[in-house]
Amino acid sequence: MAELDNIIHQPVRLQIMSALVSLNSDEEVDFVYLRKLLGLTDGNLGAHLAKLEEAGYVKVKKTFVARKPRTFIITTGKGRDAFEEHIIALKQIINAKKK
Amino acid sequence: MNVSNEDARESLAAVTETMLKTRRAVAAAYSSPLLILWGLLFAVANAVAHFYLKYTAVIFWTMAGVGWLGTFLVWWRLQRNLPVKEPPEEKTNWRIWAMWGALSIYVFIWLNLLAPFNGMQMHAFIVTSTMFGYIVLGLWFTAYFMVRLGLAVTATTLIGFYLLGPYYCLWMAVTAGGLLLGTGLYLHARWR
Repeated sequence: MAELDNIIHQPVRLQIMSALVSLNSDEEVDFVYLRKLLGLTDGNLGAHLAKLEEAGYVKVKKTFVARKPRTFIITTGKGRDAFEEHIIALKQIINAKKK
Repeated sequence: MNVSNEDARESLAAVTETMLKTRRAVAAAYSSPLLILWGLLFAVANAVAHFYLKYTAVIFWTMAGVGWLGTFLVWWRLQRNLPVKEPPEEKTNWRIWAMWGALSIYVFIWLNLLAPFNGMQMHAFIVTSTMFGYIVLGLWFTAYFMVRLGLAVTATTLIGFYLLGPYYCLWMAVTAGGLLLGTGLYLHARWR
């Protein structure tokens, strides 16, 4: 029986993880792009990313592109596994009620 | 952790929606500026060619030159503002350029082997070959709108080629140019 993940289940973090997991596992997404895509503020996204990073689900990388500072985010293997298990758990809840 | 059936459903729906939105946004970031550029150029070049048949070679070479220069500029700009970064060893950009290069060489060789041909035959061959490239790209990146667009433009090309004779260029300006431009604008407005 798969288990729900407390960290991922929070609605904003679930959105962040969904967006990151929909990319290839070796692709990194730009912080500003992700913020606009999900309609979040800098502070809100930053705070939730810190939680996810603390859990080891994402990595935040600061770099320079064309001499400008940029921040990229990537999911870790642990994060992808946790997300997958969380989705299975959600499906189990739905299916259990059907039966 | 206690989650009701309804909460689980809502969460799953939100996940599906966000994943779809992300994939679409990334696809649109890369393809919409190029579709708008080529759609606009294609529509203008074909419309002008219809009225100035004598100058079709100049018109289409100009379109191709401006198009490739514009494509390079868009690509260069995207490199600086990439929303999604892949590891350098993937070299996807290089593979895409290589695919278009290989297809161009293929078209060039066959045009020489098939000669002599008339302008309309050459036009239809180049357009359908390019659309073949769109279909391959669509399947490669699971961007099915590219497959649909490639098939739609191929279909309009064949209709114009077999049924519309003297109005071929005008037809292509409106339909094929319109499809490319319309798709680019739609992706820009709705998916990005």
